[in-house]
Amino acid sequence: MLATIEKTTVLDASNYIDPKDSVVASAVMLADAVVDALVTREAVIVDLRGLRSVSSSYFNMLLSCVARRSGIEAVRTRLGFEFSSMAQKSIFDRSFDAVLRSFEA
Amino acid sequence: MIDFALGDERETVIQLLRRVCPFLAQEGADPKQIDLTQIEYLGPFAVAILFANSQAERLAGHSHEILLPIERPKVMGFARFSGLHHRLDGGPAPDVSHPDNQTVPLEIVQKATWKVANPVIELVRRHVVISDDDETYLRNSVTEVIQNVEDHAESAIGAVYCARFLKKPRKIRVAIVDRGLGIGTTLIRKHPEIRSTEVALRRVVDGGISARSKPNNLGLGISNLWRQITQQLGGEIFIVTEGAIGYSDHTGHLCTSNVGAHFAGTGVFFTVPVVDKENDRARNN
Repeated sequence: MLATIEKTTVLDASNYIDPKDSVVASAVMLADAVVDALVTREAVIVDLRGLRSVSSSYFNMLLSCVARRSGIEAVRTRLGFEFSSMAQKSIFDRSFDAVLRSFEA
Repeated sequence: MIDFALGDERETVIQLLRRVCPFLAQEGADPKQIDLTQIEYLGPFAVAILFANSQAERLAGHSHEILLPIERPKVMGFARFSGLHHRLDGGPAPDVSHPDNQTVPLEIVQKATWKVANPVIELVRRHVVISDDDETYLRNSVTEVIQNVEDHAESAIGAVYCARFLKKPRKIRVAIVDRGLGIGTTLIRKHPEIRSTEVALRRVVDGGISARSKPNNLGLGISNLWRQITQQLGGEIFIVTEGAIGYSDHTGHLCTSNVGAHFAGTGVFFTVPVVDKENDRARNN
């Protein structure tokens, strides 16, 4: 029997942080949830509005982990983001481009 | 003996490193004593360098002593508020919750956690209301530097940081110093075609190159930091690592030169004008 693919789910990134652990460890936690969600959903939206200090390493790790396990095409076409500020989006954009380049190389 | 004002200008930091680094590198010169008793000014950049050196010397088992300022009340005050007096001589810990506090006292951090930039943001917020974008860039700048130390530097002391808020004109000054592997050493290990630390600095500021010490390294950290401090926040930055210094004003245009001394580690120093979201906008209208 084929599993039913539901359309979209939203993951609140602030639910996947350990305030005492490193920013990068939280990215791995969130990546696990994204990869799981991509199995049963057509698209996943990551809501970053609850986070302030999101460094390039956080985005690099999140996007690379998802790309390795779900494929770079999934990152490109099935993953979306909600940002808390233009500043956060500009940091994300540079990481996104760098991860795409690293997987295309 | 340090007989000049330890301000936060790039030239003063270079002068301090030229005086202190060769002295600390001398074999058999224990106990190594740095005399600050007569200095006319003390800022957060010098405090971070002096304390990082002190920590590194202590861990290496060397006898090291800093004689704190004793002459000028303002200088003695900053030795207290910056935590230098507390850390070195066991004096009372600075009261960071005091409404007049303008300092993030010396902190030692080992990894880039979500809270690592909180002391800087709390200090700024105590004085002004900053925009979400400015807060994000400022938080992120601190986090990027600490992440770099965690990923690449292998610094036995971790990272030492200290900050000071200035009221007129409103600015925040932040110093983050490690005593681990410098940017040249880590980058040249992975990219042997890079021949000097000055070139390594240029490459990391341009971005897209990394020592790839960890899977999350894609060569964006220093490059993001540089853009955020200069072009986004309108501030100034300089980075000292090994024998090189890279610096820029608000344009983001990088200049590099030789320090004239070997600093075993990396120091990141930036000054950012702080815009009060509410009052400055009202004034502009």
